Amino acid sequence: MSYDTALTVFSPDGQLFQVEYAMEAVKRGLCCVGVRGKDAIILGVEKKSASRLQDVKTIKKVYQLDHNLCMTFSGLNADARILANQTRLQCQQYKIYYEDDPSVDYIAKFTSQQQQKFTQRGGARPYGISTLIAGFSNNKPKLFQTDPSGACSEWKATSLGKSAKQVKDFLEKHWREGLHEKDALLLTTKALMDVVESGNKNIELCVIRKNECWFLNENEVEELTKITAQLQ
Amino acid sequence: MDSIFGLQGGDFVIVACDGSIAHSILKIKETEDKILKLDDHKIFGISGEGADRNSFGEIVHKNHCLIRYKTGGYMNLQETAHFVRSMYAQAIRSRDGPHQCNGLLGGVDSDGTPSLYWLDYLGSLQKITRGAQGYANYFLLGLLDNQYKPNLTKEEGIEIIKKCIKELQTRFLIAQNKFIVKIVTKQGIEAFTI
Repeated sequence: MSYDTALTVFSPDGQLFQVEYAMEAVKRGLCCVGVRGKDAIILGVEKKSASRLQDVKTIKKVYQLDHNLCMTFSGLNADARILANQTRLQCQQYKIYYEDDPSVDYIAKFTSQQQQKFTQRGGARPYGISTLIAGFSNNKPKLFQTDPSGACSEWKATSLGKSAKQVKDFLEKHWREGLHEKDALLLTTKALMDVVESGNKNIELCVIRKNECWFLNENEVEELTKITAQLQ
Repeated sequence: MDSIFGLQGGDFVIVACDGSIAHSILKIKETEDKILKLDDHKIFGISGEGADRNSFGEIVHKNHCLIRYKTGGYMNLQETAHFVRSMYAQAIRSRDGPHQCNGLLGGVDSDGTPSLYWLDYLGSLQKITRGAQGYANYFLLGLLDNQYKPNLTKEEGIEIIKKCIKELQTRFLIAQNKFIVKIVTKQGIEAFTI
């Protein structure tokens, strides 16, 4: 008997196969990187165009959830859009009730709760994405990761997707506590450039500072990739 | 009992409000800011019962933020005014009833064009160059009509607002001592108390 066709069925050795398969979908997704610095968090994502005719500039894979909170992902693009919109709504609702910005871990827990709901519901499938949520709480930068099973944890630097292991090894070697924004940005760019084919057009970068988010435009990304290439 | 009034100039919009909150014969506060900042270039002066004013203002502000993040962009004044109007209109036949507050929405678009909109609790929307909500209507419309001319400068606008305040303080039965004035230009929002 196959235990992997229905979501709400455990296998004899205690696995939920649909959730595992969702995590496979994430592993096949395009690479994304998050690096926590001292005064900023950097999120970087790989963008891939389906053909030369597609305008890669218009693909936006880092979602702004609030004025100083951003999210990126690896996995199914459309699922990310839905989850991002739900989280944006939750941010604003929280502000109506509590007159204060939600903390990053509240939002990360909320996102992971949404993902968990779909690991227990029959007739629906799990979200095929793992997310990286970055923002500031109590003036401290925080980076969280969620996955299709609904697990949520805080990270200093991490990566998801196709070449995640390679990038994580690189980050383990080179990340250190207290990176300034510029250094963190260079580290993220270098990590991505190692795994992304044909450089700058296929990278999206976002810097999350205490009170704002800076989405680097095409020229700024190009400049950064040039600097990173020179540093090697 | 609130007075909200405003006018649109050549490259700016001014909205002014009285600062008093009263409960029966008691004046609780004189420095209440009834002009909500929706974003760096939009302000929304709301007149009505305290609770309705606050809660409607909150809902408008948060929904405005939500739409901005969802669409990844910027709502101009016309879109914002129609959006606020639709919130009023949806409420009037809802279970909780209409939002019991009126408003003046003003601001400057990214290309520098100023606009001022008059909104009321039933969902009326009108683009205006000068207007008022509340009792201020009875006292100030004539004065605003008389003093207004197209392409006013910021200084001329402030002078007209000062005349309006003087008129209210002279002729309006309810003493309103402090007024909060907010001006939106392409550079942003300035606020001061008169």
